Amino acid sequence: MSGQTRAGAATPEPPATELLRVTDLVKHFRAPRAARRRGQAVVHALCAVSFSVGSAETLGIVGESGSGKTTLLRTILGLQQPTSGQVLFLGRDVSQRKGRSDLALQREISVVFQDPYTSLDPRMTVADILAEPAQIHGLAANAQKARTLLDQVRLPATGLRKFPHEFSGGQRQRIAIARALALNPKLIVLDEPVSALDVSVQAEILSLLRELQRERGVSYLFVAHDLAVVAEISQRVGVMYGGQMVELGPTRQVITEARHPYTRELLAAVPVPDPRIERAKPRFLQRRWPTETDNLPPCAHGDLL
Amino acid sequence: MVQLIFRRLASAVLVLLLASIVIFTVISVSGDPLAELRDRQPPVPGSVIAAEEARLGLTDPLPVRYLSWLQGLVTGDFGPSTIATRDIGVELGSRVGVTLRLVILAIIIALVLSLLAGTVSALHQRRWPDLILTPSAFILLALPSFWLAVLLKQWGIAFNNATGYQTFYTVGAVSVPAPREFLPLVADIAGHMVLPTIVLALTHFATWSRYQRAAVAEGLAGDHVRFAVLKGLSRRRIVGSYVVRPALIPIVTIVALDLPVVFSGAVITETVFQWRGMGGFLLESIALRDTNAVLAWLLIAATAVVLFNLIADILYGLVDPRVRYAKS
Amino acid sequence: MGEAGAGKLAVTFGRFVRHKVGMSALCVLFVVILTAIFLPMLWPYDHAEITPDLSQSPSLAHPMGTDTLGRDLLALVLRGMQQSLLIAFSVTIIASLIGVVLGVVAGYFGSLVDATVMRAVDLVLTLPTLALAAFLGSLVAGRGVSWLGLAMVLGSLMWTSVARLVRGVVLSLRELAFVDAARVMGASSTRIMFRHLVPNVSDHIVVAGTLMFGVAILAESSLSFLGFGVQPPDTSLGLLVANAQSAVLTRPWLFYFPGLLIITIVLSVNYVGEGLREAFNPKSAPDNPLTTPRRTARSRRTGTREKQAQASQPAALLTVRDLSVRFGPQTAVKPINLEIKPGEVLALVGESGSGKSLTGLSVVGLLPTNAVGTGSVVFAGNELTDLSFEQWREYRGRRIAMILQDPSTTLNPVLTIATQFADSMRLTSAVNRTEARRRAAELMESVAIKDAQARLDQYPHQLSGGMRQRIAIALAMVHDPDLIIADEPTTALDVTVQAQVMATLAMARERTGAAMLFITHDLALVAGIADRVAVMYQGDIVEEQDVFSLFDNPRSEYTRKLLSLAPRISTDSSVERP
Repeated sequence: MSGQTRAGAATPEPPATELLRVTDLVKHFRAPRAARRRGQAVVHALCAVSFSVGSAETLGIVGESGSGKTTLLRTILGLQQPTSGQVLFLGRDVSQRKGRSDLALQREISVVFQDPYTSLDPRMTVADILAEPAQIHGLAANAQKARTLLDQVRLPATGLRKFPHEFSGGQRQRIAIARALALNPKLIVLDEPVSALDVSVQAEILSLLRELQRERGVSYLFVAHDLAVVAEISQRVGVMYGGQMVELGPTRQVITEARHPYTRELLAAVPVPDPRIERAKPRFLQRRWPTETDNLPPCAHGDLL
Repeated sequence: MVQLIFRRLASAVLVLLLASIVIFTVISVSGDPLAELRDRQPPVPGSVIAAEEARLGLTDPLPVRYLSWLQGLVTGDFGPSTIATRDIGVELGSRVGVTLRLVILAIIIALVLSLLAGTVSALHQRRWPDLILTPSAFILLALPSFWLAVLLKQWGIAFNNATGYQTFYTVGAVSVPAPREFLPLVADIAGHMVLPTIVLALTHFATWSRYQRAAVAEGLAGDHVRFAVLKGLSRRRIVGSYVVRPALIPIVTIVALDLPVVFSGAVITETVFQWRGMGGFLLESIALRDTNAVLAWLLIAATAVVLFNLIADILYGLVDPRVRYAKS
Repeated sequence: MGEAGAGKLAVTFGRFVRHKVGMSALCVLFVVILTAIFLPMLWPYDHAEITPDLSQSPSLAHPMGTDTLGRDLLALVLRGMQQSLLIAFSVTIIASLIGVVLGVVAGYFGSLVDATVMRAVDLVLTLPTLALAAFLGSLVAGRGVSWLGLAMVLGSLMWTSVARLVRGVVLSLRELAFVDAARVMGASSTRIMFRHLVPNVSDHIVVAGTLMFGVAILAESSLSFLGFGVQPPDTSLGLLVANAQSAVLTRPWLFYFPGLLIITIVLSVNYVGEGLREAFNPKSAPDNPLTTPRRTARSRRTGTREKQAQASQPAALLTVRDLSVRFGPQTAVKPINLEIKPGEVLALVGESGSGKSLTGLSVVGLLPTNAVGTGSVVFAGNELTDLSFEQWREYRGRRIAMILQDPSTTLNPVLTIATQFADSMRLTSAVNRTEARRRAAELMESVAIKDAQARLDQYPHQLSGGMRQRIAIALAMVHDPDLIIADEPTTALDVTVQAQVMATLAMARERTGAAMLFITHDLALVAGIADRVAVMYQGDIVEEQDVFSLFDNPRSEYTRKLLSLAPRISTDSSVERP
């Protein structure tokens, strides 16, 4: 049973054409000094995580802080080397790449980070920011191209001469999305792309992402802590806990037929904007996760079904 | 905590060892202790120079010279001086105490004053105590310490002349001859320390009080202070435990970083007030091209700095539980 | 990069021009530098020229007098200034270059590279710079090497402060997403360091470089004073002071003019640095919650309103009338009215910038220093506006408690949990240690904290975020307050932790029967806890209803929009909402 939830290949609806395949990805960090003295040598940040993303698909990954979702994402982006396991992108292992060794590949994967206040270099104009990907890859960058990019994220071309601080949070996130689109990638990794934004702006960004997917057939790996947001945009959802993918399946199935107790607890914890439902819920005073599972050996959360 | 101290001690020894290599290399490569001898007119016979070279051990390659120098250090021998009759260890030893008492007293006074002034300044930002303290600190920062030292010394002399009574001691670390009994001796030494300590303390007071002001101002705007206010705590309790105590962490760092500067300042102050301390020893040695003496001086100063840093590290542990627990 | 940085540079320049002290210091500095460069060309005396006027006090012919050899002091001082400025300038360039390169490299690569560079910094920092410089300076001077040799000696010893500063800034910049974004794009390390990191530390470099110029002037003149810097027959300001040591009382001009000039230069440099610092990083008026905030004259008329409030609203625990908050000419909160009955939970909902948090802060009298509040806040029949810090203490903690947003910063990092409880308990009565610990443990258990006894001796950094926030709630409950103000208490927390903290908060409130002002951006949270809801938009309350009517029949367009957009888990995710 646990094997099934952990391995993406075993999920009911495998994606038609596979873009990204992550197999048994493991990442260990050196444990802090205090833990090492207690005999614990490493922290298990990722425990054999496997899943895949198809083309023109959105896979959502939910997890709270410390669940390993950030490590997963940084490993896929090549910002960190995995301890073991594979990240196959269009059939090629990209997990061992270092720096600029594989520029062609880096055109195919781009990223949008959480905080639109820090993901854009404050000292560059929007035009420079949008031209940078092409410059790095030695491609021609011109103003027309930048205008087109801005247009695609529904921003006026007058923004080109401005600096990031002259825009609102939502507008900045649009610029970050435009930059991610610059080299026509096949996969965009979205790291909490809306959690720093107001609700009304969140909805706009999510609908922009959906439109862009329809127009360009790009795939998303959408990572967030908010199950409600993830469920809204993803065809499939994975739930991470303690470095493991404890649940993975079509969105509706995960929500209605959650198999793992952590997923059920997470679902129960998400507040519902309806006073009658909210008030009828039982009080949530003690979490089972992680309090009662603290003493489990590492990488054993997935077995708790 | 004990472990923390031991680990710090080990790294202090390592830093000192590295420092000794760097100092030895820089000084040996750049300075020729026999330059003056070689340039003498009429020329000194080659045999004399060769004999001197052999006496000072200049014929060996650098690493060998370093090792033998290090070996000597362990037994308390700082190596031969360019002046055959000079024993570097003995002479320096008699002067270390003189300088250390000036340095330590100045650090304590400057630290206490800057803690007070910085805190008061930050608590009353842009109001009257601050409007006086901040510009004063800026002016003190711009004062060359040698100028201030000369000024105070000459004013002291003028005051003594005008009153016809020696209120201020302006020359030396102690009267010559020094009083025999203990209490008059202490009083005499203290009297001689007044002006030099003021000079040395004032220059550092200026820097440190600026840092303390910034640290307290930042602390005041912090959430935990706001939360303490909302808890209804008294002003005194908030200022003491919620503002000043967390702000002690940055000031300890700054003081530790500034220690070599204090020693540099002591050299200048001692020179102006004609103390027979480490400062005078350094200047004489440089003038004499006595490389081993300069080496010994730098090593002693570096040791003092490393020791003070060790104290700062221990203070850190006491002030900041995050350091205490993270490291043990 | 110049073109790209122009926008921000222009703004910074404008701020600097408006910085009066910095600007006047810059003018003084300009005059000094121009004088040092051009006046020697016009001045009839050369610094080495010996005139028959020996030891003359200042006169028309010799505005600064002459020295014992009959040299014109003005000519000497001009020459000294040239030397000092030239050396200090070169030192600044050399030290900044070394410091920036090493600092950026250390900060960017981290680990072993960083450790190596920092060890080198530690090493240089154990050596009294002046002593080593004096030794090396004497050698340089002995070989007749000019100002450049001296500048190189000082520069190679003074780079550590810049390196430390730049490394620190780069370490924090490196964590920012734009650096990761560049790496994902495939940017090389060189590109990231020089295209992204260096421009972003340039503010700090400019300020540090300016201040270093001042330090370099002091270092050079100290060295020359000791006789190991600039050598006669050339001269420098430090050398002039050294020569005048015994002349302070007899020929004071020889001592004061060069000294005062050093002070003037260094003081101007430092004030220019200060001005630059503030221009690059403008700070609003410093926050100091220990003082009483400013209020406008209008609000002082509230003495009579107090009685009206008492008469007309006997049931209300908190009445807010015509409350507004302004920052200069900008209105952040329009005049609004609010009322909370005893035991009632009022939720204040709004997006960022709606003024909801400022409203909360107004109620407890802790508006930021540069904000001006008007209107009246009446609590249990007493007007709260214009209370002094001491008067406020009758309410804060005892009758009105507040829980802030970020639990990682609200607790004092250097005190144990037990001490922080004891601090609160001692407000009303002398409590001994055992009693304080017993009650603290009780309160912690009431907010569902296990092992309360063991937690008492821990420090905040040893606890998780959810635990810290529950402790903040327990601290708020120490004196059974009548009103709790919770300002986004769960925004920084994970969903399951949020649920737990919300449950804790609800329980604690019910146990004490306190009223609550619950401030949030999340309508879904409001549904579970509020009795009434006020929705804020752009500083105004656009709607206020009881919680059920609000969710069933929102009256304002804005509330309707918020409700329709609130993310919810629907079992039918394929359907897109409008």
